[in-house]
Formats: sequence, C-alpha cells, structure tokens
Amino acid sequence: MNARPEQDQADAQLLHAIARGDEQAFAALYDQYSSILFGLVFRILHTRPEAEDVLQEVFLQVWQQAPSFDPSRGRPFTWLVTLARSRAIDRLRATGSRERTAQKSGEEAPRIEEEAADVALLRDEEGSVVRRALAELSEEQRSTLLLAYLDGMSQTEIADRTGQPLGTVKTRTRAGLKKLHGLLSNKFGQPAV
Amino acid sequence: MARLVVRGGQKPRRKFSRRLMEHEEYKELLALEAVGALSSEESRSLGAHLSTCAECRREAAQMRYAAASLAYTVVPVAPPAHLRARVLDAVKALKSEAENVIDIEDADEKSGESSGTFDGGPLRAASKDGTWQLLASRPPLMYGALAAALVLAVLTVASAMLWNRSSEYEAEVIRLSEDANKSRAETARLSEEAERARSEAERAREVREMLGTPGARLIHLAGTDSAPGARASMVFEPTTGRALLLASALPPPPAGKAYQLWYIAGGPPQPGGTFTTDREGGSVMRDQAPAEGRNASVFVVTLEPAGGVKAPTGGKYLLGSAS
Repeated sequence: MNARPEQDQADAQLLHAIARGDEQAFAALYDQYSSILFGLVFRILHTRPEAEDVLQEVFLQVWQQAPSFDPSRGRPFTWLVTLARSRAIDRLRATGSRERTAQKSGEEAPRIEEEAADVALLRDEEGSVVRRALAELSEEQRSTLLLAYLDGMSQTEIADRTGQPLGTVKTRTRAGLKKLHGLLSNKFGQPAV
Repeated sequence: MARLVVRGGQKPRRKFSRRLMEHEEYKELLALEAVGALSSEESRSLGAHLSTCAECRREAAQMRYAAASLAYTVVPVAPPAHLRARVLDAVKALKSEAENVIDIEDADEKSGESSGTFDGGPLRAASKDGTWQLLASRPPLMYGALAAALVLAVLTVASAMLWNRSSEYEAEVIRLSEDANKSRAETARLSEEAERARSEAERAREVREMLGTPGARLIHLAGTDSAPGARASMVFEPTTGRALLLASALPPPPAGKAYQLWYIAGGPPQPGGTFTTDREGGSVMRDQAPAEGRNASVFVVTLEPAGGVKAPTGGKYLLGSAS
C-alpha cells in the first residue's frame, strides 16, 4: 500500500493550496472526493436533496477551514470524512428524522453495504483492504460500529435496539474499533493515523 | 507486602492512581468519541484532557482514522453536475467577499499609518524647530515701533490699490467657497462609500460566520414573473431559526407596502420578517424563523402591507428551496 502516503501527501498539498485561496486545487479535491463523501452523506440522510445540501456545506466548510488542517494530527481523508459525517449527523438530528431513518436503515442499510462489498473491492485497493479488515471483526462489533457511525445512534440507543446491556455495547465499540485499527495498521505496514 | 504499600507513601500512591484512573477513563472514551457516540458534556471534558495528554491525542487520531475508514463500506455516489457548479460558484463568492474585507482592512491600515505620521514626530519636530528660529530672529523691542509705522505706511498706499481689486477678490472668495462646498460634498460621498463598503464587509463576515455553524444552509431565491431580475441569497440555521436574507434588484415597494419572508415546511406558510429596499432594490434582512418554520425547505417573499401579515395575501416576488 505504498500509494497511501503518496495520496495523503497529494491531498495535504491540495488542502494547503486551498488554504491559500486556490480555486483549482479546491475543484481538484472536489473531483477526488465528492463521490465517496456524497455516498456517505446520502447513506446517513437517505434523501438526495438533503445529501446534496449537506455535501455543499461540507465543501464550503473545507474551503473555510483548510487553513486549520494539520497533517500531523491525521490524514486528509480522515479529516474530510469526519467533517462530512458530523455535518450529515447534525442535519439528521436537526431535521428530527433520526428515528425514521434509523428504522429505515435497519432494513435498507445492510443491503446497501452488502452491495458495496463487490463495488468497493473493485473500486480501489484501500477500500478493499478496509472491507477485508471489517470482515475480520465479529458481526456484533461490525454492526455496533456501523449503527453508531452511519446511523448516528447513541450507545444507549444501540443497547435498546439490540437488547444488549449498555456496557456490552461500549465494549463492542471499543474492541471493534481497536481491532479495526490494528488490522489496518498491519495491512498498511505502518501505524495508521 | 501490604505493609510496604501502606508505609511506602500511601498518599502519593493514591494521588498517582487517581490521576492514572482519570487518564484511563478518558482512554476508554476515545473509541466512542471517534464514532460520535459521546454526549456533548463528555466531548468537552475529553477535549480538555486531549489538550494536555499527548498519548490520548495519538490514540484519538488512530481511533478517528479507523472510524473514518468505515466510509469505505458505503457505495460512492457521484453527485449531480449542477452541484459541482453550485459549490464552485459559492466558493468564488466567498473568495471575493474575503478579498473585499482584506481590501478594506488594508485601506484602514494605510490611513492609520498616514495619520500616525501626520500626528507624530516629523511634522511636529519641524514646527518646533521653526518656532525657535522665528523667536531667535525677532528684532529687539526698540525697533518695534519704527517697523510698525513703516508697515502702516506701506499698507496705506497699498490699500488704495487693493480697494480697486476688492471685487476681484470677492469673486475669488465666492469661487473658493463653491470649491469648498464641492469638496465637502465629495468628502461626504466618499465617506458614504467607505461606510457602505464597511457594512458590506461586515455582512460578508456575518455570512461566513453563519455558514460555519453546523447545519447552516445556503439558499438561493430567484425572482418570479413579478420581478424576473430580482434574486436573493439566504443563510438559514434550522436549529436556531436564525436567517440572513440578502436581496437585490427587487422593485422598491410602494408606500404602505413591504416585502415579507415566508417559511414553508409542508403546512401553512409561517410568517417571517418584513423589509423594504434601497433605491437599487437591494436589501439585507436578519430574521428569526418562528418555531414551526424551522424545518422549512421552501422560502418565499411576497409583497404585503407594511408591518406584515400572518398569512400571505400579496404576490410572490422571490422563491427558493433548500434542496
């Protein structure tokens, strides 16, 4: 996975140029990441107009906050995904449709993610590595992480939904994420941050 | 062994273990933070700890990295092409607003510098030197009377000539006074322009600040058939209901009328604030959406009796939707 540090460096250079007001660099970053980020916010919000709206907000936020991006504190990809995910979850909570989408996602999300398996494997190497790493987690760990991250459910909500004690949910989240991190670090052959 | 623990400095040991326990507790929160599962209180508390603990910062970055990789489980979806154009346009607008702010700040700095020089050292020192030279060259008092008489004689002769030219001077005075009026008007115009630029910059700041808040939306409203050239941009924060509407090219409303904004969330339109326009049809309105209007996805501006109404009665002038 030698491409990863190179990609990170290229992305960090784009963000650096954006911080200086370079619109071309901004357009390049948009072209590079708009599909994966749009897929993510669409998956969280379940409605296309809301997702379009949030994607626009995310990229405007990228433009405004690029000067505060610090490569020593994480990868550009992590920064972008974290921004997009938290904007989408904020929107989900603000529109009060969390219950509705959480119920919906219970039926639809696994199907979407199942479809994603093949697509992601073909899509790029990093995606396939992540998919394989996720497959090594227990089903409980994987679903707990996805309910929290993609459905914006609190640990208590996950406990209610799965019928597990709160402590178990927290343990699964911690153990699942640590294991995922360990697997990714091994596969990329370096500490992953 | 137990005695050793008790005797070997129980107090520092307890203190250490308490600090350790806190640190361990925070470490337990890191994975939950990365998947966005902490309460805002827990987040704040963890944030304070992270600012002082490099080990937790490192682990937080690792957990966030692992969490962000979950994005790869989702099918990428290409956003529509019009969205790309909209985002790039919005960024262009933000950039030019930012440049305006910088221009004005530069101008402020420069005028600050020049007035500093004017009030400060060089000029003041020169005038002080000049005064000393003048005092030094003043003639002794005994010659004063003679000098005054001489000056009076010269003035008497000159006054006859000057009298004849008084009308010329009068004309000159009138002309100069007209010039002075003109430059006063010019000064007023320039300061009006500066004020306008300053308030535009202030507005740009406000827009940026609002757009930066979570959940804020940027909505474009287009003119209807009643005002095809009119348009508006609106920043709306659904969580707080705060809105800022910037309209342009609206026909100035007739006397007794005003434009009113409406928030539409599926039910009846919820009344927003009223506004009139400047001569060019421009307007800036800060508004607070009623509680029932915070989920609005459609925004309309109608012409209503000044003071506003509870349900729309007049024609639509601007129309926009959040999607």
